[in-house]
Amino acid sequence: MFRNSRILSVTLLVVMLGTSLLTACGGSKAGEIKIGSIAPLTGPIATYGQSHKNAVDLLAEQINAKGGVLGKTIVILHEDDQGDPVIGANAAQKLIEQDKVVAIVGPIPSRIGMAASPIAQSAGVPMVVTGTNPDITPGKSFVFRSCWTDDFQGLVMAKFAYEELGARTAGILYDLGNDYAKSVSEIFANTFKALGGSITTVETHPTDVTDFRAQLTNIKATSPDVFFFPDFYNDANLIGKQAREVGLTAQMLGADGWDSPDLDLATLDGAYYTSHFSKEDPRAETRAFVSDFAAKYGSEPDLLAIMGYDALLIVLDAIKRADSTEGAKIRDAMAATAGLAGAQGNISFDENGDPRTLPAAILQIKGGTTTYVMSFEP
Amino acid sequence: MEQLLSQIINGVQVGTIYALIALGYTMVYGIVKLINFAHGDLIMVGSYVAYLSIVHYQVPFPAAFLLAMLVCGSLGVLMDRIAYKPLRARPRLYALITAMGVSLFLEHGARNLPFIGPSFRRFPDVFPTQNYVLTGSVTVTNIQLFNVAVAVALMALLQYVIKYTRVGMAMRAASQDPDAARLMGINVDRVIATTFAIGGMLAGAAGVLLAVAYPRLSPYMGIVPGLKAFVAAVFGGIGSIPGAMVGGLIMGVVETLATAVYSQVAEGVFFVILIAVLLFRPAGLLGQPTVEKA
Repeated sequence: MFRNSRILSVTLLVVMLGTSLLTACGGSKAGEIKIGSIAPLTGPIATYGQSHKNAVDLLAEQINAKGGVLGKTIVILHEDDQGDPVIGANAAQKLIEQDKVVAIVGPIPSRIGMAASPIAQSAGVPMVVTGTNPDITPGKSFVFRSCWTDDFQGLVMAKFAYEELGARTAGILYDLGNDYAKSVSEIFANTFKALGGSITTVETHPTDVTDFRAQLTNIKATSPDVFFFPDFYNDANLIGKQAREVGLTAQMLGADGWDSPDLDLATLDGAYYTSHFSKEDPRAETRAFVSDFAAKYGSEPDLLAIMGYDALLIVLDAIKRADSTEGAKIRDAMAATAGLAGAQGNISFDENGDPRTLPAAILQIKGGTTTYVMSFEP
Repeated sequence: MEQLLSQIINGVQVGTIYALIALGYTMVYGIVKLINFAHGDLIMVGSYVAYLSIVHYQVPFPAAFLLAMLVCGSLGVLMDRIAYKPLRARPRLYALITAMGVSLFLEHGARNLPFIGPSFRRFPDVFPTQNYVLTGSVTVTNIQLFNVAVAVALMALLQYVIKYTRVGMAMRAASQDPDAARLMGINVDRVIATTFAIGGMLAGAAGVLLAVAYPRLSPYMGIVPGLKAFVAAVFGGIGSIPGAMVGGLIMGVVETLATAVYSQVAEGVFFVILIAVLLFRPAGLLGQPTVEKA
């Protein structure tokens, strides 16, 4: 018995080593360009990852149908980060070292972008993230972004609240363990104060809790005009429900992390949030993307889809102009991106690799759907 | 003042759920001296049983509630039979490590079942939320009242079973001295199975109450409440049933008040209190000081 199990484990070891060597030596086939994608395909923010994956697959299919890039087929390798920065960083490592991808689209949440981007930078592999925290791109020449940042989103929401809704006082609640929610909250607070408003209270909560009543009761006691809680959609659902339960009646405001098919539209009825595009946008590229996506998947794209689509578009455009799959050459071409007609708008990068050219839309949740309210140009 | 009252109401709601979970930890510990780390995951199982039976089989809510309790009770017994009973005669550390294994098995097992899966699910609204004004700005919701009422009723029932029934007497005897209880003709193995069943049923009930109050289900949803309830059980005196109730309630109220005062450090405050209590009363608030047998 003992002998048998030893033989078994040796065989297993040989098989495991063999397969890992095989995958390691696999490399790129002659007619293929491998591009990695990192997104939360499962876990607490799984709808982000699924939307991202669908959009990236859609663009790859469209490009391949037209003969690919540089005469080669685009192959997307999807990695699931489960919404966890550690798994996300490992995924970047794996895509770069084992799969030898030429570029990476994603990760999506800022905290995972923070963890994975230094790996791409030091390996010299261009990466286009879709996280909105401003600190991801500066100082990293290989790291770009396919959406506007939280400075802009916080600013837009504060302006909208002060100028359009006439709010003068605001209460804030955010997840202390979420870089994204923290940065949006801070920028919102600073802009709102600079405009002349006042912040009645800033409350925080740890990640992974489900009870927010203590914080909400505090916010209710300060009776602000607006209540801003830029958490991800799953937390926003619970916070919205409990806010109603404790009797907090302030106008609810959120950010782009709310955009998900799983958002509780009934509970959050009447709330406003910032988004990266509106389905009613008349731009030809936006229209084409929305209808192609709907034709392939039978549902309308959300903003995670459009950001993922543009991320891959930026990569493919750079490979085409660089006429090479070498990391440094793609990077140089990518940095020179100017006026690329993306699905969200025309994309040109600033010195950090952020597109300062994309507009923001304010959406309102009303009667079980989201409607377009207005846009802010940068 | 009104705000303080609101916060205490918030705390009591969380506290009664912690108390229900803490009872499972403390009862099992009282009899087999095992910290059943998989206990928290029974909460998750309870929530999903209710979720699946309501959403997929249109079972009415009270029936789904009872079903969740029954499934979790059976799972508790099964857990003991398969994982803990074979190790009863071995050093306690073995069973403790096994408990962690059972916990991981339940979490990842649930994660890989196609009808549960890794993504979050939203528990249906079983009854529409209603606010009742107590005084001024102090309100309670029907969900809070329901949760507290059910939890208190279950705890009262448990007290009755333990104090006034033969099963309860056997459980108390087995927890005081299993060997002497066996000599008196008590089937200790059956008593242990009953304890796991009751603990599991309470965890199942807590799972449904949690799902009603916080309608977000995931395979890992039992970890944090399980951990906090465990701490509450230690705080109240592990092995002591009134201790678990008091511990859970105090834990809920203190946590809520600390969050209300300064939300950034709230999670730590309770642990500071726990350490203080354990320094002065190592057996916990209501625990019996134990003397190591020579």
